[in-house]
Amino acid sequence: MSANFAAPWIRYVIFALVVAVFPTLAPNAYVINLGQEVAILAIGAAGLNLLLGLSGQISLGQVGFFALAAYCTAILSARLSWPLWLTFPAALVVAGLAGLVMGLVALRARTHFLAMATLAFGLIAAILAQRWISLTGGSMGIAGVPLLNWGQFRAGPTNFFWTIGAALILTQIVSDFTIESRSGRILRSIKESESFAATVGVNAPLWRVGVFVLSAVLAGLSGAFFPHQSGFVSSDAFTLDRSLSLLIVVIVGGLGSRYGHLIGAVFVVLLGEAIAGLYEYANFIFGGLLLAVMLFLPRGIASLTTIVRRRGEGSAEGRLESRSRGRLPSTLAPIADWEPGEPILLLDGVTKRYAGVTAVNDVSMVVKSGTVHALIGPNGAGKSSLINVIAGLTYADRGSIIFAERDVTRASAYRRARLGIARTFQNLQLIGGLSVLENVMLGLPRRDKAVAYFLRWLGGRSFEAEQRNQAFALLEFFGIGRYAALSPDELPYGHRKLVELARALAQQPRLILLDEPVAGLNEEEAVEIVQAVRSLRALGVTAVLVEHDMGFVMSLSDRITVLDYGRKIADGSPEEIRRDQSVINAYLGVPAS
Amino acid sequence: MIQVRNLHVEIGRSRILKGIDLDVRSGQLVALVGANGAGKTTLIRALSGLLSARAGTILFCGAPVDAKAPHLLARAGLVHVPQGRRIIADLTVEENLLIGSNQIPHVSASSRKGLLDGEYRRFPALWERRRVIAGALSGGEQQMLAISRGLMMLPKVLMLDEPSLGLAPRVVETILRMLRSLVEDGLTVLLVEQAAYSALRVADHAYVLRGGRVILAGPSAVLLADPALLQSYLG
Repeated sequence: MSANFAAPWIRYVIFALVVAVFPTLAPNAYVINLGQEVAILAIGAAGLNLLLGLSGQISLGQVGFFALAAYCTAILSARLSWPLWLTFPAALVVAGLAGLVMGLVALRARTHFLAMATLAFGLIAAILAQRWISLTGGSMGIAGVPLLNWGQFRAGPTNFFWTIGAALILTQIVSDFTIESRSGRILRSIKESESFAATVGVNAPLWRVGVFVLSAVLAGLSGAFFPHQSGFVSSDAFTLDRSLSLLIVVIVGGLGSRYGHLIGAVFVVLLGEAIAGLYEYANFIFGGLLLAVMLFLPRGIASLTTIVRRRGEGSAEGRLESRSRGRLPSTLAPIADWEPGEPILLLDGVTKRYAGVTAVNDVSMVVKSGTVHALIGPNGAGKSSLINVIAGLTYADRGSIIFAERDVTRASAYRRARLGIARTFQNLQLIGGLSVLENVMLGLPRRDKAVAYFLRWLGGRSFEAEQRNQAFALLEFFGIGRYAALSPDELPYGHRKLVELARALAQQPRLILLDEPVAGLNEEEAVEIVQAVRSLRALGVTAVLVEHDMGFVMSLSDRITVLDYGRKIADGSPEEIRRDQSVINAYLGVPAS
Repeated sequence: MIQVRNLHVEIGRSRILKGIDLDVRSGQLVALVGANGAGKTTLIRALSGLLSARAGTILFCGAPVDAKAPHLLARAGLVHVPQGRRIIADLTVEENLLIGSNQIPHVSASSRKGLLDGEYRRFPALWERRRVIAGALSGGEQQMLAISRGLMMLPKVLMLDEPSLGLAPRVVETILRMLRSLVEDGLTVLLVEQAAYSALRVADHAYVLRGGRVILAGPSAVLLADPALLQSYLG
């Protein structure tokens, strides 16, 4: 994922040079001050961009983290005379803890409920700032906060700018790394579908809380600089407008893009200055701007520039080694550690109820290793419920599930994925913001140490080359390597199904759950899927599939379990199932007597 | 009353219906059967104007359905009782029934009352539970409510999408017999069902769908005896 201009570290060297020379090129202190404003805004917006743009969690309460950190460092330095190198970390810790709390809230409240909850948090922070006068000084504020000028009053603005510029570069590194590395893929997949993320082994709640803490710390970092810019802080600075302006910055700049928060911050600060004379209309103008961007430029200003165009996949593709179709390098072979024919998945008396409806009723079944085991039944028979119970997306109310000699009845979906249960989805779960190759990379297990991974990313070039090659080999295995650089939406439907299979295979699974693999496909595409599933079986992967197309089921399955009204009504070879009277009754009704 | 010729429908990029011909004649009960995924629901949704065709024609009483918005088709008497019943769980049984007729312009308040009484005579169970929240009804009662709501719209053709879904076999038999008696009284019914044997026993004419095509069609008595019917389901 190396950038258009070479390795990431070069970008930061250039960035640092710009920060270094900006004050000397600036004609006066006013321009330097604008630079400071941009930096303060951009740092906070970077956090919101990761939170909203990557993980899809909204926050209207960033001002809360901002205010907490600002008061923390102001009070500690002005009243208790702590040095700034202590007050800053303290402020970040406080903001991070608040972020942890809000992150936990966000696990419960989603979408507009989360917007309301964070809005409430922001409001509470604003009201406390105003009314808890003994602590905050209210709107009279706290004066005499030490300036961040490294002891030189005259060069103060420049020194402040350099310091916050350094913080901005660090923020950019954190933000870029989060977006461009594995974590970016994970967060985007969580945004798309948490249950999907769990099935590739992602502990989604942990990641969601983690990104909330990160965004709070960045809001806090921006807030911590604030009182040391002018030496004064009052509650007037902490209205909801600040949350909203962060939102405007990231949306105008371009949600989820690498430089959106920077571009947005420059734009908003300059626009704010340009319309300073029209103070009364400022909200109106910003509101109109937001509306216009959402209507006409939904991916923000960043989408206009070449900087954030698709990240270099095209060029990377040439470097990927091409392998012939149907062959898989041994390093990618699935874990075939189970003797073929031995039971690998055992369900015993599994029952699942939803609000009074028993979707799965006392179902026991044995899936033998290396077989294709179909799960069929009329509409509403409980097939999807059962496959979700096996995957761990919901838990059984009664009964037990043993997978590879482990009791996984209560194990969460991501743990089961890590034990070797992969799955594909009836309504495909491919992540639109990622290329086909990156979608497959989501399935690859993590092998690197974090620090080494980070340093390789910073160095660029060979970053993730091995993973890319592996993902490409998996695509080639299914004969679709040529699509590596495309977005999944650009592929024919049948090939998207193959991409899902490639991603599932990337997990090196013992068992793969296929939910309606040929639904919506034409005959030709269905044949490709049949071949793909056969080649998976040849690799020793066990498959459990739910499918309506009986031709597909009968030709491919070694064994079939039939459900009706949540109960198992038959279990046997395709031949036995075809002749089974209870199966015929379930599908066609009772014949005339 | 319904005439379909060479109908093709796509959802997203997948071709669901691949050239369907189908006729529903006045006063008949026509069954449309097939395994899941055959395209039955897509067909019925296309008939009621909820999906648009890529190619082909659908005529209702001689007029093309794509010329009218779905709600106007419903007012004109092409009434669709959707899969999963779609009753409004938070409203009472009576309020659910009135939703059916409220939107029909040529029904006056007094004739609406008459319609309601008629439905209560038809389904005494609904009369007993008319003040109950619809969500509290059993599955079978909810299905009756959905059908009754459809009848409140004075349908020319009543189309039902899998009324048997999730119901016990005995309840299904009751509902199917009730549909038969509606047809005896002069209604036209298009019944989409997976449970082919049950549906064919009450139908006059039937179509068997598989993979988006009609693979068998004919009088239900003939189809019931045809082994190809079983094969179309279980391969």
